Amino acid sequence: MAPLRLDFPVREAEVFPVLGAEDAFPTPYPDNGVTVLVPLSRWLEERLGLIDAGLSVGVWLASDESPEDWGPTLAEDMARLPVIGLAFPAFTDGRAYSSARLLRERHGFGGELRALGDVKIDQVPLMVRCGFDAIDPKDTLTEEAVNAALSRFRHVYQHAGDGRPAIWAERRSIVAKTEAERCSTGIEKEIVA
Amino acid sequence: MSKKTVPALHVISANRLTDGVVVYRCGECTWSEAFSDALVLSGESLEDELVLAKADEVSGVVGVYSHEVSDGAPAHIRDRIRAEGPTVLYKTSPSAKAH
Amino acid sequence: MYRYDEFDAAIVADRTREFSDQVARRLSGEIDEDSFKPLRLMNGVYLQLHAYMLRVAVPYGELSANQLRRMARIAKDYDKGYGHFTTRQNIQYNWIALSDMPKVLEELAEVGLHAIQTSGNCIRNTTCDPLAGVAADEYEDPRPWAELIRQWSTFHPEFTFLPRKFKIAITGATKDRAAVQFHDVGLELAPLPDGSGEIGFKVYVGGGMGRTPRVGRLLRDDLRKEHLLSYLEAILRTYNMQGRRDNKYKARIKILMDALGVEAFRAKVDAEWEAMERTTVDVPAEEVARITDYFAPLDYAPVSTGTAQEVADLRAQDPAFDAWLNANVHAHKVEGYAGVTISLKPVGGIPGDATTDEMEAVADLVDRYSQGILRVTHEQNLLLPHVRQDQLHALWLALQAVGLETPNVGHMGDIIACPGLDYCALATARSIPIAQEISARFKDMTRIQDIGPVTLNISGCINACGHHHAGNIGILGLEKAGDEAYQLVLGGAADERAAVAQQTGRGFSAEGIVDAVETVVEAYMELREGSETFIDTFRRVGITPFKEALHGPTSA
Repeated sequence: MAPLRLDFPVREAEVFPVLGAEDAFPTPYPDNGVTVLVPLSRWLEERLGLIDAGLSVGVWLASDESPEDWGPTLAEDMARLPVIGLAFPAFTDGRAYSSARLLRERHGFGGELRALGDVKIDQVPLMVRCGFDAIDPKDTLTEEAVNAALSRFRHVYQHAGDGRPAIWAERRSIVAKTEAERCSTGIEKEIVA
Repeated sequence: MSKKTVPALHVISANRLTDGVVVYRCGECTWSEAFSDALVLSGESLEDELVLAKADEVSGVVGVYSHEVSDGAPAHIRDRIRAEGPTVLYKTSPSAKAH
Repeated sequence: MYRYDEFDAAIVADRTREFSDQVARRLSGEIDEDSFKPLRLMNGVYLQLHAYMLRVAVPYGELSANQLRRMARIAKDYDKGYGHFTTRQNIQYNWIALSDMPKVLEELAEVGLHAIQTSGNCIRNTTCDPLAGVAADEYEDPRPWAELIRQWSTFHPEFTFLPRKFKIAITGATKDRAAVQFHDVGLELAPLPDGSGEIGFKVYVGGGMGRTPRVGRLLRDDLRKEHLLSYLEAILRTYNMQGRRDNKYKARIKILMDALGVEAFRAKVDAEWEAMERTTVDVPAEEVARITDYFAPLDYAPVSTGTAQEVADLRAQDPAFDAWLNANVHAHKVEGYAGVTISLKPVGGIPGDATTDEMEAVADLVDRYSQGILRVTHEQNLLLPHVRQDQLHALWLALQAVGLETPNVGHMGDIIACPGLDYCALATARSIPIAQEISARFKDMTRIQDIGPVTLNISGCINACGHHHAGNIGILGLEKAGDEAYQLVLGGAADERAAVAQQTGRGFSAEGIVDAVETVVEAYMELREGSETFIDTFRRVGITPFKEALHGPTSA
């Protein structure tokens, strides 16, 4: 386990133990200040108890779960949870990309969105675009490789969850910039993109 | 007549990683483009050689497998086509690099 | 046509560098084949029986002469001097080394070509009517929308690991020349049902070939153009989240639609669309206008009024020219112009193949006779969309000089066939030799004219890349007891009256299937009334008379 925060440049992230439905909380807990991730079903069942006990808990979704499975506490949990993990049991299972976008863009989740499991280097830029800001890959990825992957694509064609402008917006801002400069100086300037 | 007790004969084949060309496992852990060079194996020696051959999947070959041969030729049409190339005469341009 | 600006060029260049890096990591052994395979597929690289195969995209089938020249050069420098045009308007190279792929992709990128997303579980090349922009029966040119879909779908981060491949086709005319109803999503530009005369989209979902052929179901007929991309996003998100992941053979969107039913599926898509923040998905009107400008009609210098008579005179004198006009030349929306299909189905040839020399010859003809633009058709032919009628004869003579004048487009010799077991690792039987044999049997151009329009499709396995399910006559190559065996299906149609072909009964050997095709054609000739085409007659009489011709009278 070598989790990374997908800032630029990337850096080491905190380890968040990922628990199953029946797993005990790691001791000493909660004094060790560790945040653990529990499955959605467990969160929904034990939620009030966990909140009352003041435990630092995040939630993780299996790849066949989605925000639609969350239930009526979804909105409140988006504000409350420090971290949500989304599982990639195989890197070819792309369901979590959609769940990530929905959590970020539709439900306003502002905490850490962490990709868990079979994360390969080439998926990291896609994950960032869908709103992930951390990964906990089963195969170690070096910071160097991740930085290189994240800086590879200078432009993107479409809008996604990371705020990068779609290609048509980039083109429009170039045109607007040219226009503005022409108006302000009265001279046509060439903008080198 | 007596039941056949001789296990079927096989060769081991793969595609070369760099260019996809069909290759056959020969002696001394090498691979050859010629079907005629292929080791003919069966039973345990086939299994052992397959294990050794698969080690080359790291960076030498792709898709190591074994197929039956009979009368000195691949038994199945698919493997015959792999050995001999397309059965149809594709038109090429004389100027092409690789005929 | 669309031309890359520096943004498009940068994206393709960055992708080429990424793939170069991935190839290097594979060749060194740093990543294994299981990890590499999905990556190489997303860059159009297959491993076939004899070698790697590279599938280069031809976005919505449109190419410039210079791009065709570069394709010819790649075939010469890195392959064995030929390429193969496919049923999705792409080109395939059969012999390029993996170690050469990065260089090949760089050279393709120089002319705005790439192999992005031509394979893999992602959104594939969107295909289009080869007469887009020039068809006489067109409501609106689908190409600007095809280009918008291309940009929206390329490296879409959410839809890069779908349950399975996803294919979109778009048309804008009354006749469907893009087989839209056999696609995961089929789009048809047509007048909106509100009677306003405004053009919008009909959206078909869940069509497809393969093991479970389906005609797409109409999801809605009233999609406003400006909502196209957001609606596609809603469909894809629904599919990505709910498509099956447990069984590769049940993972297409058509299976999801079967499971949910059209109404429930539409409800989910509509709910997602309603909830979506669409202003960043649907591009602004000015961007639509900017893209549309690339496809503005060309300068069509007027053709003299005497041309029609001249052509009529020439064809009266020369039956061969007449035959070519009948089969290969199509009506154009501009008076005095025509669309011309170059058949890549010479008698006894390999359907869809073109050599370097042939591609270069065609490129010169495209510059001379079609304002530098050509199209690839999903019937594996090439089409020149801007030909002056007063140059038809000269073009025909020029085609004769390079052996590309075969007048069989849309007729018995115009066979659509996948590469089959001669090339393909997935195949169960050979398709090309069957095509060649049938072509040879029907080599008489007068006879095929007499038979009239008919589609004949051959697939070498159940994956149906030859689109046999949509053929008026379809052949499926299978394996039976170690031998190649062929099934015959009849009555499919890929146009706006889309239909899946029906089984005719027990299968045939390689020799038998060619005789069976003759039997079926002869049965049609006996049964037809008036000017009925093959499919007209089939629709009238059904399959029984054909089954009886093949297998004898059915028992009472």
